[in-house]
Amino acid sequence: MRQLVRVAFDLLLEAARRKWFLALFGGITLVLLLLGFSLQLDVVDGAIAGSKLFGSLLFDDIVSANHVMAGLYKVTAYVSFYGGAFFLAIACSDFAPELLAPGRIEHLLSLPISRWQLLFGTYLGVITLAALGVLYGAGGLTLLLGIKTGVWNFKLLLGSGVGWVGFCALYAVMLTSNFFVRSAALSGALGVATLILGVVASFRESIAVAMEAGLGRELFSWAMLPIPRLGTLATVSARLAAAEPLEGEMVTRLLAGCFIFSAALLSVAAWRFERKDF
Amino acid sequence: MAQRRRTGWVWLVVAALLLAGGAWLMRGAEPPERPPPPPVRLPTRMNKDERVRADNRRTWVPQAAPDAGASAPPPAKDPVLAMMPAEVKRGAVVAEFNAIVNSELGGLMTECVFGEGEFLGELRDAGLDPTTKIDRVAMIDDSLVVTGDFKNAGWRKFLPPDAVAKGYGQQGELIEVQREDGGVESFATWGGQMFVAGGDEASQKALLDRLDGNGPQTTRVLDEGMAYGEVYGVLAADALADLIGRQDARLGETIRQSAKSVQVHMDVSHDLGLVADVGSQDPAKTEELRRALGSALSLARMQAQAQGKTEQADLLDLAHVRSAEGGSDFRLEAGLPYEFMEKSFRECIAARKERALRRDAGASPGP
Repeated sequence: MRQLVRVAFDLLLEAARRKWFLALFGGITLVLLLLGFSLQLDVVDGAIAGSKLFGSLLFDDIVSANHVMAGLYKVTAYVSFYGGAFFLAIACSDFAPELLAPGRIEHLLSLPISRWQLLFGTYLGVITLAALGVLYGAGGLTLLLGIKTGVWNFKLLLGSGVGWVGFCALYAVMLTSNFFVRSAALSGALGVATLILGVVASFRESIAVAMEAGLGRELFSWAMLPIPRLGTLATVSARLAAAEPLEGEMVTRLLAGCFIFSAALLSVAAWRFERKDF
Repeated sequence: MAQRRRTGWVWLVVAALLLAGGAWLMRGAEPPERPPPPPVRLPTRMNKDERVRADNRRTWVPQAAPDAGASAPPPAKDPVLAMMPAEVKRGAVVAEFNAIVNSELGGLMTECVFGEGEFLGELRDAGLDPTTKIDRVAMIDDSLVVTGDFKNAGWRKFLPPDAVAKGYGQQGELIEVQREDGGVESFATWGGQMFVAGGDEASQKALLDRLDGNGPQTTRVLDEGMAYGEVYGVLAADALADLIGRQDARLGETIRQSAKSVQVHMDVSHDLGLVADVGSQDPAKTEELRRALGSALSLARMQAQAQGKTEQADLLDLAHVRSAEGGSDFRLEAGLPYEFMEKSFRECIAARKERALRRDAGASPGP
């Protein structure tokens, strides 16, 4: 475990040296600033009279601030989940290919660390980096909405945590792909594809019903079973942010399923890494 | 290096186990799976019992005209099918009434349609118990044909005293009744086993003429080979287009332009299974219609599933649109399971009883 943390920490130092932090946090700051300048919320005695996004009217009736904020946090959580997953998949796609680049990989392999520790440590480092980014983004958004509306809801941070678990599954696929083909473009594309597959898997039964009964439908149902239900996780994230009730067992199963899927993909990566000559 | 390659496979085993475990975990987060609805029997061809039924119905041999010479007598015919015209304006549909009311759901269906009111009692008093005396009910364009055992003339008590009956053809009888508005309503009976209502006197005479074998012997719109299921018949495309067009004008117009006719067969022996074969008029437009119906069904299924209406989704899962082999025609199949039908009839009976109770309560004098 110490070795894993050491590799992860080394990755974070490397990320700081290569200014990855700067790029990631700069991107998030840019999105926050854009929202900060364009979202205009007028709160008068606990009620929102109007909310304008990019000049177009969102709400034109006076409703309770808490009610509006629940809806707003819900939408924000959905946008953060999908937008964040997409952004991180693209932003982090370059990390693994860079770390596995000739020169650095030989140096890492010469260290007294086993390959699987190197792999899992790298993964741990990147998802820690993503967690910091998510914390910064969600924290900034909570602060922004809090200052603008006067309604403080820290549940968005919890919802973003769920989004981060979803990204862990995406990054497992992205990292694993690099042990087969070292390409940032492919890694990013696979991350986005997994996100889409994760949404499809969430509607597995509804989609299966629309298919002709037979081998095709059965194959689809079975193939979608191990894919993390990212669409459902997005809904969990939104409901958490809006302080809506959730079924604890279902959420636990979904989150655990995501981590187990990530571990399974990393095991495939470990198998490939063990057999690969550098 | 060799050691590392050998132990590498352990990772794959671990990966497979983790994927299976993750799948099991996430499957548990989905709503519980419902068993698929039981298969519904669809009437796609004539079965052995229906063949025997068709053979037994060939009872009518029309007398040859006196000037027809000494040729061999014509083959025996099913009287209802012998009445069928060569083409229909709206449709020709036959319902095996007796088979339907005596089916597993017949009792509930009869109670739902007729209730326990006076109407059924009056019919029984007149010797017209629908559950035993009526065999088939057919709609031929505007005419209603009821077959069964009407030899007991008790049904005549429903006729007004000024009704005039006159013989027509070999076994027919035309009955004219004066309407209150001064017009004349006509009915026809035939051989104590058939009652014809609806349409005008000319259309009733045309039916009886065909039954007697008068007029050109052309191919009928409905023949013996098509007499399977408990409801069978042919609907003209225009009639179907009008019917559908009331709900969806665009789909109605597509049906009018693309379909020639629709042959329907319904099985209600246990569940309700419907097969509709749509004959093509314009292959390109028929294909468009097939796709439109198929996608409408898929969308409705997905919508029902997404809205958590699982029972509705299950029912829609039984509906399919299939291309006919090697042609531009297509087949629409749909089914309603026994349990669903039973539930629906029970709801209908309960609603009927509630209406009757409310009516009685409204009619009873106050204290």
